[in-house]
Amino acid sequence: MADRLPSGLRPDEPTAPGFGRESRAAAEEPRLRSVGDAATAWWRAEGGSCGWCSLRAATAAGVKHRLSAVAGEDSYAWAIGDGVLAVAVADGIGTVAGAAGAAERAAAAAAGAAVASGARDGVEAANRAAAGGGATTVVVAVVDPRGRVSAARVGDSTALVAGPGGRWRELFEPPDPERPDAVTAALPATDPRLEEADDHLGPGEVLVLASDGLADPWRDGPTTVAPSLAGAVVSRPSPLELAGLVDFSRHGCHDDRTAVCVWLPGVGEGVDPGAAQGLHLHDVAPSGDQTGDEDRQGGEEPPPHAGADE
Amino acid sequence: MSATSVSVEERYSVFPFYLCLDTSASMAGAPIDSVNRQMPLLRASVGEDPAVAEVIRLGVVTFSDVAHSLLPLSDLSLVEAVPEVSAQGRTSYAAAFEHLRHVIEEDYQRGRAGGDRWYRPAVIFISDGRPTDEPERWRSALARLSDPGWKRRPNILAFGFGDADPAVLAEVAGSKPNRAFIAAEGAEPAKVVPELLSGLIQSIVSSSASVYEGSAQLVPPDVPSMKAIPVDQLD
Repeated sequence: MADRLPSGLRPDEPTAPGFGRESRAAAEEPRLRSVGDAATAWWRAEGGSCGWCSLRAATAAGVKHRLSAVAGEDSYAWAIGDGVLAVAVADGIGTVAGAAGAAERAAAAAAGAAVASGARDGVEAANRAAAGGGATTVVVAVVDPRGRVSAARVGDSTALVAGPGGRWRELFEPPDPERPDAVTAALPATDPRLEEADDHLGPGEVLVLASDGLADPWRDGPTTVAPSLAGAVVSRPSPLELAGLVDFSRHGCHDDRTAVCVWLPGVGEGVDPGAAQGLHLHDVAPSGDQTGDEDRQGGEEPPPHAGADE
Repeated sequence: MSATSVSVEERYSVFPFYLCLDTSASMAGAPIDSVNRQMPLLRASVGEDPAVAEVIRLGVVTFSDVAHSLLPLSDLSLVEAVPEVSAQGRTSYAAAFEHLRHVIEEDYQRGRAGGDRWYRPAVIFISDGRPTDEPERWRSALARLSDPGWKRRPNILAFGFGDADPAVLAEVAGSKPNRAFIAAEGAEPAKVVPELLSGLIQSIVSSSASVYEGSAQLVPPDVPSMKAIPVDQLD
């Protein structure tokens, strides 16, 4: 990396929140890319509502990418169909050339296919799309107006549900905290390591799809990141507010971060009270129990591009 | 997952590296002088990338008849200067492995208490000689360091020159491909050591950077005057 920028060019005050032990690197002024455009912007945010749901999506390129003057490699997409919404997040594997493109294609393909024929088909479409070069994780979820959520993924991007009071749960099995260097599964793959999970949004709950750059510190910050973000997203922040939230400062957390959030204002408020009755954070079964382990596919060797270590 | 299984501990990722350096009498002269010249460069190179500097922790262990920590596991940005090394004594691999086993566990427990979450530690083992211990002793110490049942067992990169034995180095590195390296025949230590340390600096920086690229990897160094020791295939 080239010399650091003069100190006068660094921001006087951080614009994003700090959670726990703050990052020195996050306080550095990013190095301007030699070329750039809106499609590859380091910070992107969007949002809106349809008749039965609201969506906010935001991505922030990681501090490491910003200090190295390269674009981020996360992507997101959504698609609205006949009474369903499909959302997807993909995280390009940075060690493979073309990661950003793979993530962009995979997210778009996943959302497009899932809205028509379900989350599993979304992952399969993402796998085909990723074959055009690069490598990526993907997580896709299909939500209906009754709050039913069907999700599928390959790799370490994940789906969370945040609720009132800063409570939250993860739909998929979290990574082993004793194995932080474990290799993520990725697409394309001849036999993708597919995981599936179902859930049901209760009153006041929000579905959050997240890349690992957000999910890892969320899990690692159970008294700072998790309650702060879970508490913030339930109040349906604006797109720019969400972008600021995901761009928080935390020691050692410099990966790209993406969040796609879905709210169903009608759940618990008369649209379909039966669907939400009695469902609260503490009594929803773990996703693994609901899907059954037979639905999980595992045991394949990690893809060669992700060849890491024990 | 159920909410009750969520951890209540704050964790911050760090990537520990232990440079384990042979300082036996045969390292005197150009090799040790090179080490002392290159160590400040490591600190400067890591510091060039704040994101990498934030996650790297480096400890320096030296060994001859005994082993000790020349630099305790540290955040390099907070280290004023790396102490210089001097050469003396024999080449006790056992002392090195026993010391590493002890300090890695101790550092892990201390770090964990402070909220650190470790990537698997890496040991960079450099020697110019064969072990002077009894084979049973150094192998026993290596087995404890590499014990699959010990969660903190490090990945080991082994580098040798001078009288170092390729077969021993391969064993130290767990007989894994691209983990053990030996200087090319006829290569002078005065040339090999600076190249090696320069390559290791890049290896450490690249390994730490990989944390932010989807998967943490131990990236082997590119050292032109050294070659990877082939790993035997079992019958």
